[in-house]
Amino acid sequence: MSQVICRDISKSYAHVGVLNRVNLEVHEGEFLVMLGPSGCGKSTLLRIIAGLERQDGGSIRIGGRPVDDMHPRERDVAMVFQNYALYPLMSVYENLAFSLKIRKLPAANIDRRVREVAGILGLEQHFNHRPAQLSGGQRQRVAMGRAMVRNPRVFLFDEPLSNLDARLRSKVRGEIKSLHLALSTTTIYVTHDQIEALTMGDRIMVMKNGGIEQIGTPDEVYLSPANRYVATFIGSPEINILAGVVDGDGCVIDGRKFPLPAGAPTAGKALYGVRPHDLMLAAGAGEESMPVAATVEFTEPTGGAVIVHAALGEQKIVLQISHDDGRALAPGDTFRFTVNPRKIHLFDPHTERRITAE
Amino acid sequence: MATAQKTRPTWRAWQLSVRAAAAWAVVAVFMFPLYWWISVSLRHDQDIFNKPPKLFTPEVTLKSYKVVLLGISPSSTSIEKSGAVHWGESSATFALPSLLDSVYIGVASTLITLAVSLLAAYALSRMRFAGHHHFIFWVLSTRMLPPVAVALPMFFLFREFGLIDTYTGAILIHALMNFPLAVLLLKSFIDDIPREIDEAAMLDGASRITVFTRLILPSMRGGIAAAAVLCFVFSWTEFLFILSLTQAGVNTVPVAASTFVTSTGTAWGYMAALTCAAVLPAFIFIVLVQKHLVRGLTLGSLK
Ligand SMILES: Nc1ncnc2c1ncn2[C@@H]1O[C@H](COP(=O)(O)OP(=O)(O)OP(=O)(O)O)[C@@H](O)[C@H]1O
Ligand SMILES: [Mg+2]
Repeated sequence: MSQVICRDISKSYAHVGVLNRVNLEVHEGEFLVMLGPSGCGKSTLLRIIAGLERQDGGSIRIGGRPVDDMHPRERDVAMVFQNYALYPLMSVYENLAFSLKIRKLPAANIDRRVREVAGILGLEQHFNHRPAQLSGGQRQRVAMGRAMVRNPRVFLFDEPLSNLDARLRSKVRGEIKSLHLALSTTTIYVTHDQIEALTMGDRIMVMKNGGIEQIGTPDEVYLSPANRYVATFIGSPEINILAGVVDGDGCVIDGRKFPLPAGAPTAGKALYGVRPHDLMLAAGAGEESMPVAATVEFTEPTGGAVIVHAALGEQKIVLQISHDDGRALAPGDTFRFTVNPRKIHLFDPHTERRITAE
Repeated sequence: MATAQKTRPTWRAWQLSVRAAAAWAVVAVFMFPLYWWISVSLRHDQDIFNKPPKLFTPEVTLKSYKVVLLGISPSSTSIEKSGAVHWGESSATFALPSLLDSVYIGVASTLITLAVSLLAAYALSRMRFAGHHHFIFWVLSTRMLPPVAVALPMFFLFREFGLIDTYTGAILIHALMNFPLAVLLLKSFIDDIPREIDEAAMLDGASRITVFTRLILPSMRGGIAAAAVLCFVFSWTEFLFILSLTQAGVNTVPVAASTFVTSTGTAWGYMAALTCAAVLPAFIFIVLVQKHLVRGLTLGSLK
């Protein structure tokens, strides 16, 4: 029993609100990712769950029990910090053994457990090294080992990969994920990197200004974002959001008619969202209806694909197309493209909420 | 080209030697008073005020040291060779006890200051409490008053508590005097240790005390050494409080040295001998602690 429930958590520093009545339920064994821009309150929420910070209002339950009046050490959660916070004067072995020694476990048990965890993380050959003698990736591993060694009820990660280089990051990302599959300990993972969120999370919680914008599986968050903010925050290159007017069977944007998804409203203003890779060059008289004309401004090759920045009229649009298609396009060229009607997101221009019924 | 490359090293060597000469000149300027003071301590009385002053001591004598440190009475030094020496003669010029008092008070007050200010510095660095921000100001404010303004009220307090002319009183006043600076210095060292280390340890199950003793203290040996040096030196050289709060029972080097200034004249030789001798214990203390200073500075990096 180790689900985490946050009820109406509020927090402000010096009268500046950081968290605003956050409600969250993390299921037993779930990997939940908190995703949001810098300063939106992710770390604050995580630290409140850990007990390192006290909320102004609301309550936290871990494993069904309220923990609001518990000292961090009584909550049985483990945290991996962004800067790892390893004990600088202790060897790797002592770092791993610290929590067990404090619990006054028998030395033989401590040794067995430390070796077990070090074996999983490949740390045995560094047992006698100080943290300062380790590389960033190794330190990160020690930090994870220190969290794992005492089998906590909940793992909390605060941007644990942000100090690693890109290649190592994707490697460790996979390792954390497979560790979670093996241990299935409830995990809350903070990041501002959407790739980490999409690849690792069972569910993603998108935050903004101390509030929750959407909680859902990676597919839900990506394929049916609840509002314009979520749509823009997730996905790279960023989704196109175009201002248009719905007119019968299409949406008119800069004098061009774009297709509408099934069940869309038939009139009124709308924000028309479509991701760059859901746009395709029109192959002559394509089977997808309604090709739209645009003018190339510039192109960015990214290896397998080409990102085309184009002008409709007033508004700009970005397409991600295959290398072969994009190679032919030069600045100033006019081309026609089609839109996958099943991948269109309509948002209310005022509330910016999703209006497609689906 | 070839000649230019050949001349460059000699030009550089010249540059380096000028730089070294300038550095040594500065050192010499600063060291000169110390040299002069030592040389005064080794002179006969009549050589101290030579006109024009002599840079080198004409005739070296240990007379002043014998009087001040061994208690040989001044009058007997002249007939020393005849063997009529009065060892340990209690006289106003026998100042060895003041050196011992200074060591005792310096070490004890430093230990007390460190013990208390380490705890205070940890609390100020890591804990939030009402008035947290003002606290540091209030800690420092006692140092903003001129010591004279503190000495008088302290005199009345000490008299009330029976601390006048006691070692306890002298140690206490020096500990109090050094406390603000030690707190601020140690706090800055604790501030340099990431908070997350405390937090990780607490999540690992450690109490505040465990965090403090197992993680904070070992990480700041250098800071503790620096604070110890400062506290000891301040206590070693402090004059006013000891003068006003003690009488014959407790006598530190600065106060003892001042007694060589009398209405009938100043015993420059004795004063110089005592104070030169007093450099030594402080020097030994600093050398002992300095080992930790250097170690503390390199601990953070690799090995
Ligand atoms: N101890 C504090 N005192 C005052 N303000 C704070 C404190 N801690 C955080 N804040 C403020 O709270 C807001 C949220 O901070 P938080 O660290 O939770 O952001 P975050 O989402 O983790 O950002 P990042 O991605 O940069 O880590 C920030 O505006 C920050 O300035
Ligand atoms: Mg953060």
